[in-house]
Amino acid sequence: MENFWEIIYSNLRYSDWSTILNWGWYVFLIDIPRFLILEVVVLFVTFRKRFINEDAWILGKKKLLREFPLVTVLVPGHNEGKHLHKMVISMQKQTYKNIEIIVVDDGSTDHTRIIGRSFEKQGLITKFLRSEIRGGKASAANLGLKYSKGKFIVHIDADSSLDHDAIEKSLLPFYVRKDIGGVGGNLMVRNDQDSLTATMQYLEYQQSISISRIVLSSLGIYKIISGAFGVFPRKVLERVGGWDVGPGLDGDLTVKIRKIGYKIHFEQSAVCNTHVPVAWSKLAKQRLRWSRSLVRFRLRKHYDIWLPNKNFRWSNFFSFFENVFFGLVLDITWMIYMIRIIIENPEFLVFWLPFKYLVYLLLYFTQFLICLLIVKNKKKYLSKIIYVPLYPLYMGYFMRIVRTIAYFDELFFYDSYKDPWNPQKTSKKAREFGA
Amino acid sequence: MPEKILTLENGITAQLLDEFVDRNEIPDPEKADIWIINNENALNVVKFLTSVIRHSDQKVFLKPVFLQKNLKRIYKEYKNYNLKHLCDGYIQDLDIQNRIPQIRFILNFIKKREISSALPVDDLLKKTLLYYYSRNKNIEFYESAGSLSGYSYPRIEAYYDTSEDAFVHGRALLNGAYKSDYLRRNYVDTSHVCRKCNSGFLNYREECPKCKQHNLQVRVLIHHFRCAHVATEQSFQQGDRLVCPKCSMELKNLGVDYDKPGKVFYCLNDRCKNEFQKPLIGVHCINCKTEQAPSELKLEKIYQYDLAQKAINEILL
Repeated sequence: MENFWEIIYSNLRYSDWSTILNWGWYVFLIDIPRFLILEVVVLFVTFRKRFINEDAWILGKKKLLREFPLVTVLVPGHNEGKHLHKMVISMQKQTYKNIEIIVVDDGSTDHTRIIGRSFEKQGLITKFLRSEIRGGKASAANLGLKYSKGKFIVHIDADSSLDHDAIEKSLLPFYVRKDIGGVGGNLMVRNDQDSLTATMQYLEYQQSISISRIVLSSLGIYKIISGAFGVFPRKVLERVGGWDVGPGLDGDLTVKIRKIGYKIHFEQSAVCNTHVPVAWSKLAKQRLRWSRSLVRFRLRKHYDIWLPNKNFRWSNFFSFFENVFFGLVLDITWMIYMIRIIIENPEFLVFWLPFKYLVYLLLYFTQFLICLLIVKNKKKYLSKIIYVPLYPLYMGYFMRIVRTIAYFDELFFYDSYKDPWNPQKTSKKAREFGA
Repeated sequence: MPEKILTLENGITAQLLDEFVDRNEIPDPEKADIWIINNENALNVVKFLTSVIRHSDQKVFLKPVFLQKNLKRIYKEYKNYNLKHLCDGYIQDLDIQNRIPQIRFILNFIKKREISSALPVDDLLKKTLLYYYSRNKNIEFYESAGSLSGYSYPRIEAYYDTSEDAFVHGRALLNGAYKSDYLRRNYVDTSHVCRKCNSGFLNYREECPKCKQHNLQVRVLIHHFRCAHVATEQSFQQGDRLVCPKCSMELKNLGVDYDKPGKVFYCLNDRCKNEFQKPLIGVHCINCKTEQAPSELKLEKIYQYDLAQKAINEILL
């Protein structure tokens, strides 16, 4: 151990800063400013603004309760019957009471039909719609949309459960801000005890996903309302024709809404507890799917966002730019730099990897502390502090490698169109028409 | 008025009944061995046969009674009357050749009964047992649109005036006989009848689960693969073609461009307009107009009966 630290120390002494900057400039020029400066400043501004505007939010709540519109909770799913009971219970506890629940069974092969029909009969859910043939999540959601009556549509996954005030909180932005076309809820991991994988995702959802969404939303470039919990005015959904073929349909929908001029809002106080993959392989599969969407939708289907035509909007451009730059571009640069170091100066790695690890550990600790100020359940979050040392490895290596693989196989092999997550008949047509 | 009495093969005497039937009058059973109905009026025939069946004199209700085959065409319009099952069936041109052993058996049986007891028989069960023993037949049901439940034991039901009594008491008679070991039974079928009037003439139809009205329309759903749009077939129809209202593409091939993943019911009641996939089923009784759910219907098991040893012992006693 002593030896290890000696090497680092000697390296630190003997390698001059120009070498470090030469190899690791992106850490200092991009990641540190991004983490510390941007996030801290924006978070501060956001929460200050929210505090100052508290009257507007109280007024918004009054407006909401005076109008008291019907809200449709739309739950499309395939073989999700076993989760329905929990979902129904979480709906009954909502502080917002004027809701209808529509469950769409997308050709399930288990007992979903029996469970759903019996809930419908008992009046626990408003409508149970079944597609006898599996058509994919988009078609199920569209079927539900057609038979919904609410002014707002709350789209949730069957295996997610909402905090009791989540629907109310997610509706408020529509009554406070103008031109909101969609509100994304704040996702938390509910099965964090299941495995190390789940615990790491708990940290990730808290301090990376949630925080980055607050920041992006404040900057006006938030671009993916997660399918697990999103709220949309029905007239907006009808204008964009509902959901298109997935995977990645949630991000695609958000982009379509942005394109017709609406703003997207992330509501940190509207909390949805979701079930995350427990095994590394499952997690990798999920993230491969998510990351492929970047190429499929941001570079291919919605390439017009990049073009300076009459529909061009800077906010849309930057939302894509942020996504592609921090995802695709930096990953590729990272790979090139790693390969260059290995080829040209492999001894440098012995110093560089631990050094970089320490830098990121410091960054993530800072982030952890900032996040601690924001999260609701501070005690639980604090108890996960011992996992923070693993976090640089999780984000820096596991996530980055999975992402990079996804970008490559989508760029060259169009793998998202082969994903069994979506039925082949629709993927085939989507590929044929570039959707 | 001359009585038409003929002597047929084997010295069996037959009386042709025409005016007796019109007047619904039972002739003297001593005058002939068998009766042959010679009357074209089916309604009168059924009345007459019913009187024979209900008669308490065993020489009358056990009497072999035949219909004429050349009148069958005329009776055909009244097949609800079950004429054939209220007597011993049809014969062609007074030809009883192949019925002789059967007739002989019946006549001997009546003779034997007369010796042991000539008293009138009023007990319906006893009459029934005697008759079916003399005919060496099972008590079978017949499917008949004219009977209340659709399944009928014509000869048993002829004891009663109204179709409801016929059903209720007729079934009770058979069931009672089975329970007291006079009859054995074999399961044949199951039917559902109105809970109120026992009628089998029921109309089943889909109902709106909300307003219970049954004026519904079924619409087929179409799923367009390319854009994931799902809507009713009507919304895709443009003349002869199917065009997607979301992406304006034409849908050409079922299974390639689109499929039909289900259907939805629309309630046409203006005040309801409910849309749903799982309708309730409502049952309307045509006979008594009662509305009921399928689960409320009365379950009826249909059996075929034959005489048990206990019945035969008592008869031969």
